Amino acid sequence: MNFSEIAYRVLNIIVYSVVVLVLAYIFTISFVPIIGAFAFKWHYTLLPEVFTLNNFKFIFEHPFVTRSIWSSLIVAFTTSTISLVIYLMVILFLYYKERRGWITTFFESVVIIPLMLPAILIALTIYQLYRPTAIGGTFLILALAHFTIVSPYIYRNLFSVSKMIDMKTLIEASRSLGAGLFTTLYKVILPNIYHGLLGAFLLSFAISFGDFEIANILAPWKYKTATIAIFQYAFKNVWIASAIITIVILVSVAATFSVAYLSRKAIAKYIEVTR
Amino acid sequence: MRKTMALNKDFFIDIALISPFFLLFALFIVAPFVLALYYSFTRGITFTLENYIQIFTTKVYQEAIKNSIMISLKAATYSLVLGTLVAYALTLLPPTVRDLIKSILLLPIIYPGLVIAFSLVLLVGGTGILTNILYKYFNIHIPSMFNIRSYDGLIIAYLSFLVGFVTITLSGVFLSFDKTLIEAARSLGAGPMRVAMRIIFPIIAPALIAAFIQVFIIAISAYGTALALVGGGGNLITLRIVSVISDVEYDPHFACALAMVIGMISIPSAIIYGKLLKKVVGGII
Repeated sequence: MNFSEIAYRVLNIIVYSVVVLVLAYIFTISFVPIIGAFAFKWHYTLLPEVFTLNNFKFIFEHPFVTRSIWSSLIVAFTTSTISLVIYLMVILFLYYKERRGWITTFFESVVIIPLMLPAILIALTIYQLYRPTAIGGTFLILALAHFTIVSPYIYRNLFSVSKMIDMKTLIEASRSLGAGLFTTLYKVILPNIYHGLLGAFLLSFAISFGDFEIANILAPWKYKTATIAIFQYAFKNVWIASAIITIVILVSVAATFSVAYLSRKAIAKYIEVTR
Repeated sequence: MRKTMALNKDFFIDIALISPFFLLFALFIVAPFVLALYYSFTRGITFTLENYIQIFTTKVYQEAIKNSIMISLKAATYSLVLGTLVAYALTLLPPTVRDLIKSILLLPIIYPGLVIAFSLVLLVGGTGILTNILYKYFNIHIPSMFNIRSYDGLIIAYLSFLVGFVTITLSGVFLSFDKTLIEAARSLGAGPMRVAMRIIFPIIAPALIAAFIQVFIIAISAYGTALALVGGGGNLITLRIVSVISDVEYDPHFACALAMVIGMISIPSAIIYGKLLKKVVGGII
């Protein structure tokens, strides 16, 4: 065994230990609040000294917390629906006809704009602009502000799926056979990018559900979201805050793993189409 | 005549498909940005540079800018190193394990920033569980060695989601990497250092820079983690903005000028990032 072989072995050991370390870190920060949600007393042991279900009972009985979870769900659902419909239309626009190259480039650059601007700036000025208008005191303002932060994720997801199934050829084939826009949409596009659509929906749902930075500034009094409730209870009762965090974490976990599952399905579809 | 009709119909479809996007984009990204720009240059309704002068001449705000940049640079550097190693490890693993690890890395990105801060404080904070256990049984007192509610603690908290960003951006590049190049170099006796510097690095350099810029922007504009971890005691631009728009002293003009300072750093970086992104395969954003 020469020197370079040993060096590669050492490198592999290093990278695998980094992976283990990073995963252990993520597992720890995920499981501490989940275990804490069942704790009544937890100070000097690896697991809580006294377990209880009262934290969950509390969050489902206390109107402020229950309402905050509901408003998070409403806002996340509205955000994902609005952004999915709008970006589906953009994707249709890009593939419906032969487009020049710069149009795609333009959209790719435009959707990363929300990434350039700090969320706090967007939230602050949206608050200033729309407070006096009709949508000022409703959940719509929060949903539309979340539209900006989920944009890059949804666009990239939908765009890569459409590229993968070769949407252009599909649409051309369907149009050359005389199908209109709606027929093409229902019969050709939707069945093919169904998994990608659902994945994008879930991802944006989870991001909107877990947002604190925009909601903290923008959420109207009636629609304080779950993350705001976490922030308030973090200073009062950590175990109740843990119980709310557990719900947020469960939503994230469900969304992430469904997205992974769905993208595998989408790839399976791609193999089916190309075969 | 018929041709013009058809053209008109297609044109109408184009407009119908694209207008909702542009409407929302104009109302919720362009308009807020223009308003922020306008606010940052005004006091009341008079045009003034006072906000910016105050920011760049007051010691507290100079410190805040310096702290924000330093913390983001450090967090971005560490996460780039760790993320690159993880992305490399992913290329050695079978696809199922790779997907699983990627999904796990996506989790902290989706979690609210304050959840990460909350968990860390619960674990190694002043009266955290791990702190208590170590102190009681091993007589090791973590807070006297390392305070999680500090800027260093913040960097550790940031790493949890920045590593995921780097890994997911880079793994696409690494997986599409032509492995025969490495094998050729190895068979000729090149060690890992030489392979990395001469073959891998020149090819992945654009992706590395793109990933670095991406995590730098995310670190500098995030405030959820900082608010929950360092709180009012920290001096970062984002925390200054939060305190300026608190109920006590509500000053949107000054807050917008502060946010614009972040924009001055993040917008040019993002333009470079956008240019590099074309060379990068995959990535979550």
